[in-house]
Amino acid sequence: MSSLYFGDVFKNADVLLRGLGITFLISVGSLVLGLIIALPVAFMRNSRSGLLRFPSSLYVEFFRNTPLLAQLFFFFYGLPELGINTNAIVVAIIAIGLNTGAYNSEVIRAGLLSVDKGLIDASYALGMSPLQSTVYVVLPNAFRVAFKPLSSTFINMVLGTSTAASVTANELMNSAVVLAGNVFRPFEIYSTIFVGYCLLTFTLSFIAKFADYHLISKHGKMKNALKSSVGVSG
Amino acid sequence: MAVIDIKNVTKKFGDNTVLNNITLELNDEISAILGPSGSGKSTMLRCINGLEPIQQGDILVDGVSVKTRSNLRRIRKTCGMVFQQFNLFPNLDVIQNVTLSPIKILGQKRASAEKHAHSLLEKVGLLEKARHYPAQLSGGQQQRVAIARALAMNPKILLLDEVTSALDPEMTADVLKILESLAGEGTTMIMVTHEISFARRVSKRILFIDQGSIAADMPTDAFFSVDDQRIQKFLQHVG
Repeated sequence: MSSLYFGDVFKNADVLLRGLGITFLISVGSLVLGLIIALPVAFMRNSRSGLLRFPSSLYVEFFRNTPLLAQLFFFFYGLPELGINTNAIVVAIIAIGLNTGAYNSEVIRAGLLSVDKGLIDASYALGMSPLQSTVYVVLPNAFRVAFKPLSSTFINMVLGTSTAASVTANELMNSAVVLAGNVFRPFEIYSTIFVGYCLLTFTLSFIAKFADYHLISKHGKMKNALKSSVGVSG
Repeated sequence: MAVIDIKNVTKKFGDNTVLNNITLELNDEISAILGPSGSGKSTMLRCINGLEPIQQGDILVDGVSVKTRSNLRRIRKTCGMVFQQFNLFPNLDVIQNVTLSPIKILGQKRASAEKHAHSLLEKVGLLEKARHYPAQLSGGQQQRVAIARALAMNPKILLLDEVTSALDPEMTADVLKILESLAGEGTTMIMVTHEISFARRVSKRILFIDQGSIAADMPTDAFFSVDDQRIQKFLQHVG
């Protein structure tokens, strides 16, 4: 029986760290793409016009009802067939960005719907145009509601970037697979990348909680929390 | 001269007629709109600044018609509005709530908008809460901020939609005190209210709405002594 040996992991730390860096790159790229897509899609899905609603619904339903892995393969092997040649990391950002954009748009849409009609009335009564009302009142308040669920879909998405390993993007998961094949230390290598993923997600959720407290909760939710706790003890 | 001219207005929600062929002129004074719940009081107020579209007739605010959509922003600058549920913007602190529209819509400089806001907050007794957020204030305080927010746009007319209905008696008294001092300064107000004694004290004219029609329109003193069964019954029930 062999014993655990982490020497090969340390010797190849640079490979794993580069993989972690690329995982981070794909995550940030997909996040940005996902948010850029999600906002207009959320407005289109809430629109009264069927012409806007139909394509946006098609997009959301397609990406939420098919596997991410299949979407990745489709873009990675399908695009070159159309003469579009691009590298695995870019394909991963596009596929994962489109996928997370579909989920994000639903979260943002729910945030938009949650904005109290009274606030919109008040903005109009103060003389705002529909665009001003949207920019100054609806969006900031929708964002307050959507922030927490968005940060949780983001963390899910970070873990989902590991699927990019299967289309040759040399991110953390892929680096681990290659390394495990070379040095035959799967237990040590995969347990090491668990730590890598945890470091990434813990950092992100800490940043999200910090931002949520300082930008949002500090200004109001505290009081409600206090009220309900008084209610329970009283 | 009439500041608000309501001509043959009918308002429906689907098949339900809420306002039925209403015609009246409101002047530069304080008018109170009374009536049972569901009689169309609030709807009438919301039609005046175009928050609710009307199906028939016309309303002129300062000579400008609500029927033309492009007029609405002008009308809403003429009419400030305060709501039953306060409707402060929860993402902004008190001073930002009060200065948002003066800065973004009237194009005022931040410094002068804040100076004006400070004097308004002083008037409603909440200067020390300028940097608080709405959720950190009581209902009565929020409503006083909402009054300051409406006044910050220098409206000619103040529309008050049951502004004390969501408040307990003590907070109600705080808000009414401010409205009374505004009344003393000659602010034109049109208020929908269930505070009968307050309406009696400050308004010059009472409009009694019942089932979407104006059932009575008379000077305040006359209203409270009129020999009308429907009005007497209403007054008995609201105390």
